[in-house]
Amino acid sequence: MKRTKLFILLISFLTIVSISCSQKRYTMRKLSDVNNAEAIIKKNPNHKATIEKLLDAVEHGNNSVRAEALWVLGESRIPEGYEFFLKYANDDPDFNVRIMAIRGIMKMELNNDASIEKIRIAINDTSLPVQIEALKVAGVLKDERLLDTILNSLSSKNRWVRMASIKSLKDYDNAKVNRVLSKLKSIDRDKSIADTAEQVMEYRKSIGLA
Amino acid sequence: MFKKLFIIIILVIISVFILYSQNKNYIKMSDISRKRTVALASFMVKRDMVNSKYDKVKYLNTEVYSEYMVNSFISNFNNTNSFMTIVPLEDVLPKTLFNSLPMGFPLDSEYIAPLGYISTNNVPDDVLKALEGKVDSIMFANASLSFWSQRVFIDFSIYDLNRELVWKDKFDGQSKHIIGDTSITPKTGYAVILEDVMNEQRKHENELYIIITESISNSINNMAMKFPMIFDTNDYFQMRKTFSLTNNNYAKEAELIK
Repeated sequence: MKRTKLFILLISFLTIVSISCSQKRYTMRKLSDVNNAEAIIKKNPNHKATIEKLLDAVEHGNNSVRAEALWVLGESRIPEGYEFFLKYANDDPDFNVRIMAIRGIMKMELNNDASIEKIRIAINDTSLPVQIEALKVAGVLKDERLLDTILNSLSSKNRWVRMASIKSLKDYDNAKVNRVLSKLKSIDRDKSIADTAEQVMEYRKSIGLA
Repeated sequence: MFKKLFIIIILVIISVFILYSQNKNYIKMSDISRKRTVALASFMVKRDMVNSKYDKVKYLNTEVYSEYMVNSFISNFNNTNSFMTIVPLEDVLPKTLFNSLPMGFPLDSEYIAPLGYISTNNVPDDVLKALEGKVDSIMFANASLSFWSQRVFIDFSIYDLNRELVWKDKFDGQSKHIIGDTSITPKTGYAVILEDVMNEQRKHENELYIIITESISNSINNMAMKFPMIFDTNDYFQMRKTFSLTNNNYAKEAELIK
């Protein structure tokens, strides 16, 4: 009788130990874990085990861990992360996570339909910092399909969003852009917006777009 | 062996003392009984929070909070003390003159200026002339904020209208608000409907507004004990030592503590 009890106790103890050990191997639940992973990835961007852990953290971590894990994946341009950037760019409940996902799309610089669609939705996000990040990405991708969405956000109520959309237009090769910029420069009441428009116009002149 | 250790300890103490006495604070005011009105000209704010020391979680595009920060700073400062009142420069300067001041910043600049504030830490002479009789001094400030460590730093300098530096200092404050885990209980697949997204986001963003207000308010409260040090002297270190005992009385007299 005593032996059976002892045996059951031993078995349950071993099970608990094995479960806790196995969880440690596969999960990343703390910010410090993500920071450690970042250090490993910086040294070796192809470290598979760490990449897998990061992807797991993106899916199951809390809002800070998700955001940081996406930051690390974007910063090192990990190809496996692209799918996750697309997944979280519009649908994560936390605005900071959405920003990091969008930033990841910018780092990958892939002008495919999926990216463009995600960025188009993100430009109309409910959160202002997300809108600004999406506009930055639109500026980097320089895709004509995004032009109308950028031009629409020029009439945003928020000055920082307006400034971000002006900046994102700087490399777009389209005559419409020049007209809009010169109009903004002369009529916008907010001096910093007029100033931004002027700087973008000068930049466009210097690279032969205006 | 002990001699060497002793010398090293002495050297460390001396260097700490030197570092401490070369305090970056500078206060020189000739009349502390007079209430002062200060025009806040600039309040430069960092665009992103990606400083690895303070921002273990990065927040990008935080310029959207800059207007809120500066308003919180002014109202907290004015509520905490009656010795000095801050007013925005825009409110005391004629419109045409204010509009002639620089407000733009380079496209990729790290710091930005909130709406209604200039983007340099200097103003031309005609501005100072126009301020005569309206305010006593002019203030320039650079602020940085970390949501993660929930701290705010405001470096500021206040000049009299004859360009004489009267007060250079730093507010730093830590918020007691803790960023909660605002994520919804882990959902597999993240099939989150739009309403959920909006609610959660509002909850997180509202927390960030609380952090700004709390940090600024704490930084100014920490500073309240330093206000009585406003004497006509540059020897700030010595002053702090001599008058530390009477700090509280001074503060009460100057209506800095209610």
